[in-house]
Amino acid sequence: MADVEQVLQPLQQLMRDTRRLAPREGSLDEPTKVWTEQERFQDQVADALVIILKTRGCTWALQGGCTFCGYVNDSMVRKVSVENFLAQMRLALGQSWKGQPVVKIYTSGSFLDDTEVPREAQAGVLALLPEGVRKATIEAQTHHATRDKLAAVRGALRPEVELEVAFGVESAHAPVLAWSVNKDDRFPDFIAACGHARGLGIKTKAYIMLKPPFLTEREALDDAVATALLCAPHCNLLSINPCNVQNRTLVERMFRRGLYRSPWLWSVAEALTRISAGTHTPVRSNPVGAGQQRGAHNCGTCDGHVADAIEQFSLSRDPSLLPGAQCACREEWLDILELEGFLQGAQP
Amino acid sequence: MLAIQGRDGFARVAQWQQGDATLRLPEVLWPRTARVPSPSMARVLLAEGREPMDLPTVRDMGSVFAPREAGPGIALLPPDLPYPPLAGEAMVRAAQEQNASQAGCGPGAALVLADPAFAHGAPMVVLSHARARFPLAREFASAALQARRTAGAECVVYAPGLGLPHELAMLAYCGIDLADGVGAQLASRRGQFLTADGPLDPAGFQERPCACPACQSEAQGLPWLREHNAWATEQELRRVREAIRAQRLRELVEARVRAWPEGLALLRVLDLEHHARFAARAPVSRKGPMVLGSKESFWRPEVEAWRRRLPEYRKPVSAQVLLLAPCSARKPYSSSKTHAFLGKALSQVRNADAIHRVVLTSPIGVVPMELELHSPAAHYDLPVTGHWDRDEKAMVQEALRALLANNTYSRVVVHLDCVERDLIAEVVPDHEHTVVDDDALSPKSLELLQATMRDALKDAKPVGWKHRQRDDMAARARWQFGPGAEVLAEGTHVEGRYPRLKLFGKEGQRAMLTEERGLLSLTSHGAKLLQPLGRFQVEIDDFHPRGGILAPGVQRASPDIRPEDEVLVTHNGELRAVGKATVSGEEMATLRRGEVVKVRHHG
Ligand code: SF4
Ligand SMILES: [Zn+2]
Ligand SMILES: [Zn+2]
Repeated sequence: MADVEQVLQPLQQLMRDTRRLAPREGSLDEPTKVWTEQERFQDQVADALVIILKTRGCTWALQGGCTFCGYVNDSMVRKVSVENFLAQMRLALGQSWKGQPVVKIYTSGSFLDDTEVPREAQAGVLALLPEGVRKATIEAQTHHATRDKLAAVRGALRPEVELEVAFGVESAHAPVLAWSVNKDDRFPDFIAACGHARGLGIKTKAYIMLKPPFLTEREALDDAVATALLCAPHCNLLSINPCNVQNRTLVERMFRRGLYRSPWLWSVAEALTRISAGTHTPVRSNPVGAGQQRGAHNCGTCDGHVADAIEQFSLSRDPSLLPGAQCACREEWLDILELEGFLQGAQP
Repeated sequence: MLAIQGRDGFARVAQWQQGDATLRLPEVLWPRTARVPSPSMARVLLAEGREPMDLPTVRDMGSVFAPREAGPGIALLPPDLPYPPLAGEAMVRAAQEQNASQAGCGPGAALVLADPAFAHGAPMVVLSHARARFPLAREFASAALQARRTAGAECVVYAPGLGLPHELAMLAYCGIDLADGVGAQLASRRGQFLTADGPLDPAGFQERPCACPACQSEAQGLPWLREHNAWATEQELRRVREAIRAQRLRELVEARVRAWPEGLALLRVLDLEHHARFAARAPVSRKGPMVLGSKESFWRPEVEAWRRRLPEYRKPVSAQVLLLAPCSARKPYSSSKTHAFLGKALSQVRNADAIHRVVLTSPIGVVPMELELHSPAAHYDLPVTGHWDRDEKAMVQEALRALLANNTYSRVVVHLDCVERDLIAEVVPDHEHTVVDDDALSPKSLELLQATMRDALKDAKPVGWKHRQRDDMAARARWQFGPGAEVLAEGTHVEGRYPRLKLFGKEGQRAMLTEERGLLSLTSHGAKLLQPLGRFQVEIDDFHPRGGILAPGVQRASPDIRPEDEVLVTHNGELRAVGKATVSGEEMATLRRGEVVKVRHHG
């Protein structure tokens, strides 16, 4: 067996086969998607403009990449130049920036990966943020977040703009990263990146995966909670991402064969409860596709209610808002936590 | 350690001794967790953690993602990398290597296998993802049989997540020794009432359709369902074990799949794609009737094997005129009224020993009368309606073609009713039909049969009955021991009254036909003649067997040996004994305990 510090080649190969990537048509001067959402900023709920920039794609995903991640399906799989990046950014801000204090700039990959986003563009994109923006968020893989690069992006922003970098930690545990998620970062990379960020006054956020493939519901829940508590001392915000079924991923292949079920919303609520009891670092979750078969879901009856409670908690950080036992399916979920491991891989 | 007490195909009833515990097999493991209690009749538990239990326990040690320590247990399921078999071969290989390396994690560690091609002497082979694979009939059939083969006779095969009452017979039939109650406990939580025919929704019950202690009690809701579902499991488990002992498991499986399409699909796959392996395990003689009660029975291993072997069949040499005769409900045929009448009518025809009476029957095709005692011809029992469906018709026609392609008759006389006659006409256009008014036993029909036979036999070579008896023996020898075995009847004469016929050569008795087995039992003289054929041989260590041969004494066994087969026990080319196999050749090779041959004559 390959050791946990190495990429498991069969898994990487399987992801490559699953992705079937090819260069995509379309203008490189328009962003993939732009929208406005709400988020918590300086203890209040604020509007946030989200801009998804078109890039060549996550370098790691182009080689195979994480087993749950379908972001690369939006990527161009061909070169995107510095000028293209700047044009996308100008268009997005021109059309959609209406004074939102927060702007999130995402790339379906790693903003600090020079192969995906040229260095000049990393700084150039941030420098375009208009006055009035008070916080910018970018996402990066931890091993790209070197001191140099973080300093460069920090330097591109006006000093009064807060910079937040979000890292896809997924799990703090090497076996999960190596044999389930297929990530090329390891937990020490995250600790190092957070250290650099702190030194530069950059805020950090950890994305923690809830229920990557091959883990039982309980293993996944425990792993997410443990990971969050290990991340907490190093970062400013914890975000629990329940795994959803994205196209052309290993998770989807398994889902189609009845071998994968997205986590229960009860697990999300339970993770938030346990984490907020264990750390002062704020924790939140915005389950994608909540209540659907491809997203975190419960029995179909209580999903809306539980998902709302999770959202309320994420905005307010008040644990009393998390749902208790309001549906019979909670009992089934509790039984499954204890019984699923006995099935040796099959779904309960 | 495993003490096998009964077998039926791949299924076995056994006592499994692990440490201080003795388990009966097949068995169901009952989970016990903080929230899910084990039911009152549980005998073996499935649990994790270190806490000591009051019952023998199989311990699950989690996965590589979250390994757990395990307390005392009769078997450990080591932390595995649970890649599903569908994730691709390379992935499964990777997981396999990981899991095999875990097998040494402690005494009694089991192997958790996605593709059970690995097994290094573990006491238990675990068919991973068994529940996920189950609906994929092909995949499951191969995996289960592969697990059985890899495990060998001494090792227990466990299919986690399977074990609902209606699944138990099928699991045993596939050679799986252990199932579990996880599915039943989840079903209870989901409000399902389990029965041997599948789950029911108890919401509409006017009356609880069960008399188990839980159903007779006042219990309601979840506690009631948990207990009832466990009783339903236990009850079916007992039926399965008893069916194995009585060698009637196939009948039970056929009954269970009737209301269970997934199970039916699996049985089809087993019959059509794995026939040879099941046929090798099917006993060649049996006690009691074999009820062929459903369409599925037509493909049961013994029946299908009979049809598949027909091209190898050769008629008694002196038989010249073929008489196709009807079957009878009573077995053997010669004890039936129909055949008594036919026999009497034919005995009045000169040179009747040149007639070859062959019974045409669904679903085994054709049964030459000299083989009527052979299984399954002597045992099958099915509803006779006179209606032949398309499959049956095709089956019988194919059997008839095989008979006629390899055996030459001067005339073909058909003493069957119209429906059957039409079906024959398509295969043998120039036959003579001797049934009048659709009544084979009417004086008119019998007279026509006699007249037709007299005419058919007028050019036939005269055959003495002693001569014919010897030829019948040669045909039996060939059917039982394969081509070349006719040598057994060369230069012999037959003594005794049918069916207790003895075959003598100059040197002494060679064989005897036994009614109960339907087979020829050999003497050492007979065995020596068959020895050069190299079949049905059990090669033993250098000793002189007396009563029975135990598994450890066996070096090799021909793979063609089926349970109950007559076998030659040899050492280095020297015949040491003659006897009856109690298990198949495949099983003899891996068994480490127990008697495998009952010795009758020793050399
Ligand atoms: S999760 Fe991040 S690192 Fe992994 S493939 Fe997706 S974009 Fe790349
Ligand atoms: Zn619910
Ligand atoms: Zn009952």
